[in-house]
Amino acid sequence: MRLPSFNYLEPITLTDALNLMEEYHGRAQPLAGGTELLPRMKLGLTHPTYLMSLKEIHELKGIKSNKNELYIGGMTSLREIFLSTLLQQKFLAISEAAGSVAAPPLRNMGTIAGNLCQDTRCFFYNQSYFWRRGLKPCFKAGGNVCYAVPGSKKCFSVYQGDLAPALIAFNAKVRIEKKGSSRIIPIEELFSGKGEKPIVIADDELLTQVIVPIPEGIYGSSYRKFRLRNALDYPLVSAAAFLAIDSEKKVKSVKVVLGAAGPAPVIVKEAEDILKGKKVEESAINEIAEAAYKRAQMVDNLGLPASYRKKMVRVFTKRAIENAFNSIK
Amino acid sequence: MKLDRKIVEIGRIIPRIDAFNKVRGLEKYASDYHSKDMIWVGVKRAGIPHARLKKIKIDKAKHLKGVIDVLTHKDVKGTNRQGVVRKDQPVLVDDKIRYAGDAVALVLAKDKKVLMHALSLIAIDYEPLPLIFDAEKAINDKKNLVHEDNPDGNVLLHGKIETGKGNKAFSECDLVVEASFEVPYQEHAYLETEAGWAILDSDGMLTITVSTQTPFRDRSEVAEALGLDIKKVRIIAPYCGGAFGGKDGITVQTLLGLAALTVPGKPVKIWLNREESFISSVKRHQARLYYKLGAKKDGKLHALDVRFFYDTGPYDHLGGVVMALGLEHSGGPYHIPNTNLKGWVVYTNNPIGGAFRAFGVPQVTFAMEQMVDMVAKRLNLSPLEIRLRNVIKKGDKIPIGTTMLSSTGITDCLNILKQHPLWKERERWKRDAPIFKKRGVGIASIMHAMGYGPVVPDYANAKIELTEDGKFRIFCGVVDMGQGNINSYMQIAANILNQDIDNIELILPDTEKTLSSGSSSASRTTYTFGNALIDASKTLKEYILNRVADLIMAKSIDEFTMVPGKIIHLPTGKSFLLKEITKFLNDSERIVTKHYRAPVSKELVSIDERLRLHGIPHLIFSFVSHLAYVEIDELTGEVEVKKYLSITDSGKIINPQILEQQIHGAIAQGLGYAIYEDFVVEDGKAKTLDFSTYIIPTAMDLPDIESINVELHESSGPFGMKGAGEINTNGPLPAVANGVADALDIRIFRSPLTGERILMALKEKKEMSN
Ligand SMILES: Cc1cc2nc3c(=O)[nH]c(=O)nc-3n(C[C@H](O)[C@H](O)[C@H](O)COP(=O)(O)OP(=O)(O)OC[C@H]3O[C@@H](n4cnc5c(N)ncnc54)[C@H](O)[C@@H]3O)c2cc1C
Ligand code: SF4
Repeated sequence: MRLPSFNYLEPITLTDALNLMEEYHGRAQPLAGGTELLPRMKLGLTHPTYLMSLKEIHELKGIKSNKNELYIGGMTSLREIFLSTLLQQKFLAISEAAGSVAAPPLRNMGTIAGNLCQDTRCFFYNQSYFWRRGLKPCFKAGGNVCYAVPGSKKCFSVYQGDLAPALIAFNAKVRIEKKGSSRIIPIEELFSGKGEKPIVIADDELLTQVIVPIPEGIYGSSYRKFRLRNALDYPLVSAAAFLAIDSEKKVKSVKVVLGAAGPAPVIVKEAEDILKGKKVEESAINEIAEAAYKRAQMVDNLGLPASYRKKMVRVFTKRAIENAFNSIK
Repeated sequence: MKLDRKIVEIGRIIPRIDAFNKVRGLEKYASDYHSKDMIWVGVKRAGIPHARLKKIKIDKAKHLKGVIDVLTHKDVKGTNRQGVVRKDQPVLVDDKIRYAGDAVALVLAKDKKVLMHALSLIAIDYEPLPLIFDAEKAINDKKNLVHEDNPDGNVLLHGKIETGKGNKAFSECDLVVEASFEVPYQEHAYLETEAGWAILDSDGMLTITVSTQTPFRDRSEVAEALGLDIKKVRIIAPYCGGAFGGKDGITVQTLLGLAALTVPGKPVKIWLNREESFISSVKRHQARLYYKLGAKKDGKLHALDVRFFYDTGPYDHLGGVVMALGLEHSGGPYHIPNTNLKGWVVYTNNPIGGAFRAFGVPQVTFAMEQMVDMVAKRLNLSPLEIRLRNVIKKGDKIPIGTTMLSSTGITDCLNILKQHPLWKERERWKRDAPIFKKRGVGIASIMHAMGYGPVVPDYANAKIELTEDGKFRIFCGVVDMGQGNINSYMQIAANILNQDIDNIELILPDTEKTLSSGSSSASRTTYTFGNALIDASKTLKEYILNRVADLIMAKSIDEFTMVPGKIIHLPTGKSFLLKEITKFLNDSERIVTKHYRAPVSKELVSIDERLRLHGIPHLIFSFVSHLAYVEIDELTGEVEVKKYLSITDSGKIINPQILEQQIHGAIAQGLGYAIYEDFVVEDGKAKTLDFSTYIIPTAMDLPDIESINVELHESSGPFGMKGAGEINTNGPLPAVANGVADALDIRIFRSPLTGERILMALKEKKEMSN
């Protein structure tokens, strides 16, 4: 369980970092807080030759806003996001999601970019060498078997990041840069939906910023996470909900996103049709929960059986919507 | 100034002297030993649960560059057997593989990388044997045996006790309740995995520094298994980084010894990683229990029938003793005149069941405390009332038919609970449950024995010295695995000798320097060594005062008082520095050794010789009552313990802080056992090999714990105390289970009480009522 050897790069400006990424032909793996990458390296799941730490690049840190948008630097810590009063007031779900990641020491180190770009997970994959030895590599490890769903043709590993569902609920975008160019995409496009390689970001690109449009009018949001313990655990199911209403309490817009329900965050698209223009009532919430239940893709590859986790999709979808509604002041 | 001031009081908080070094990372644990020229040693584990060994192919590994040697059973010169009671575990497998964690070969390599590679090159040729994995079924299996040479087949030990009219008394009962229960393995999950360091010096002395609870027993075991003269084996036991019973006996000692013998003059090191520790180490026994409890209309418990099966895996370890203690406690702290109690501890090919804080009692307590609640419910009595009507008083017979003779505070524990706001306000708290939550309150009452029982001598030898610079040095032969007993020893000596803690020094267990004092286990360390130390300290004080009195021709030693660093002659006010006095004492006055042996039960009723040999009956017991406020999420099934109350009778208190740490720690471990911890084994293979699958609670998952102490004086104990290290581990599982039943009207017969399990039970209940 020792960290394998690697070469270490530590640029102090974004330009240097992007130059290095080009120079090393994508072999310089970005290292943010290291709380997700280093454990994977210790387990022998990935072997980067170069680690490029972003921690000295101050231009990537901090939260700013103008009238229309909120900007969170890629290297902003989860702690800072959790404690920001602006987020607590206007983007409750994002703050709740950040505050629910792992445990305080990991939130001090962990960053928003690292959180978004984390790999998918599976009980049969995130294991030590000791555990895996003697087993043929599965799809995710470059082989052609799956232990979670024997006989299947693809990987069902799960995206368990907490921030993405909350950010997607707010229609957030990310800025992705490489030497000489920059593009902005909706966060959902960051995810391929494939367990084998879940994050679509090129080897020479960096995620530099998260941009969240500031919603207008009356709205609320919430992030609900199901886990065994009140600290340390990844979500076993989670749901983020955003809800905007008009002066008659009719729903103007709604977005419900599931976490840990497949290889990418799952948008419950039905929510808009079910609730838009209506009042928030239990039957409608139930209907969305049912749609969420159907969309969730679960197999037995996390700490609890899929059947139980799937049942929890309904419960947590409802709770997220109800809490979002109750948070409207 | 009042000269007679006691500097270190008994009953006051003396901050732990080990704490500061430990939190700064300065304390050197066994796993911290390191040197440039050391050799890494690793174990090839069987990986399969049951097979006849045919051949071990080691050539490839042996020829790998950087490998110093590869050893198998052929290199073991002694008996190649280890074990606390029955010596049935090989150091390295020679005939049969009996569980996946069996050690088959030992590799010595220059570094860890080579070591890992070499281990992967060893191949084992074997003939698979049918798996024995169900303890209850295995008792009648005469064909498939774990140990062919065991006279009782797969049964390691069977105990039975009948009192009164036994089962015949059920016909006299107004009501009878029956149920069966299951509990899984619990893993100790100590921070410091098994580790040690050894060297064979040029005089042929083998020194092993190891994380252990039992240095003196280890010494004999190493000598015997490896064929060495016991005088040539030395065990040094630093503070353990946790143990909880898991280091009561051999973990890596014999392997370290074997490796060191191969490379004289060179230090060797073993340090298991977490997976290897989980695979190979002992666990709390998984068990299946069948209970039948009968009562009279007035709520008096009248008859009890118990049958239980403890799965001890492939080796005895302490399985027989664990089962016996379970049997002794199977009827709880109640007076039940007619009992029929039977226990089996059985060999299988599962992981080893062994010693774990509370030692066989949590399993039976889970069952018995729920049974009592079930009877109470049928009789429309409150759980507290039924307990108050049945708990034993001093002089009563306990369910195994022996007489309770120690201080007996269980009624006091329950009466304090009765007056406590958490009990009085429980109905209001339950009514205030938020939406989708159900609340319940559960209680449990428990007794727990201390010490080794009637046959195996429960002794300690305390040695204390007035040093050349006028301080006092305690030679401590019993390990501090984290419970803080060593601090209490210093407090005791300082109190008797009227010194500051700073004037007391301490030598940690070392078979060359300190004296044999038994294991760090059985809630006995402060009681047994403490008694010996009181005697030694008082005697030393007398020697010193006598010497001074003689020197200055004083009338008697009553004219003197000892204060920190000196002695004062009261009539003249003259003082004498201890560092001066010490020059006038020769070694036999300066150093005092005292032996203490704990009293044992003299009753011979109802308990056969084999059970007596395995430690029952006991003489001295501690008591607790527990109360848990539980809240259940109706939609996820998850249980949250909101508040926890423990009321403990462990006699008088020496250091309230250490006692409270023991109570809180035990409850935390008990809540882990109650709600989260489930060591899963399938086909003899452990499935939960790290902390991402074996879930233990974090600080965020524990409730506020309030602990109250009854403080009855136990006349045989040092300053009136008795054992406290284990008892509180027993309460959380039954208290939470009773709380769940109170909230949902559902009984969960299988632990842990996970959300999923509760949700299923809720669903079943709903379907039944539809
Ligand atoms: C015990 C434990 C519990 C955890 N629990 C949770 C949890 O509950 N919820 C949760 O969401 N996570 C959890 N995590 C994972 C992790 O701690 C967090 O996701 C954290 O936010 C990751 O951020 P980081 O800065 O440490 O990422 P790193 O480990 O530094 O990086 C993660 C990945 O992102 C890539 N990356 C980092 N920055 C960039 C960038 N700017 N551009 C492109 N790629 C980049 C890295 O190359 C790497 O592949 C847990 C981790 C541990 C060890
Ligand atoms: S889901 Fe299958 S392929 Fe994917 S990581 Fe798990 S075992 Fe491997």
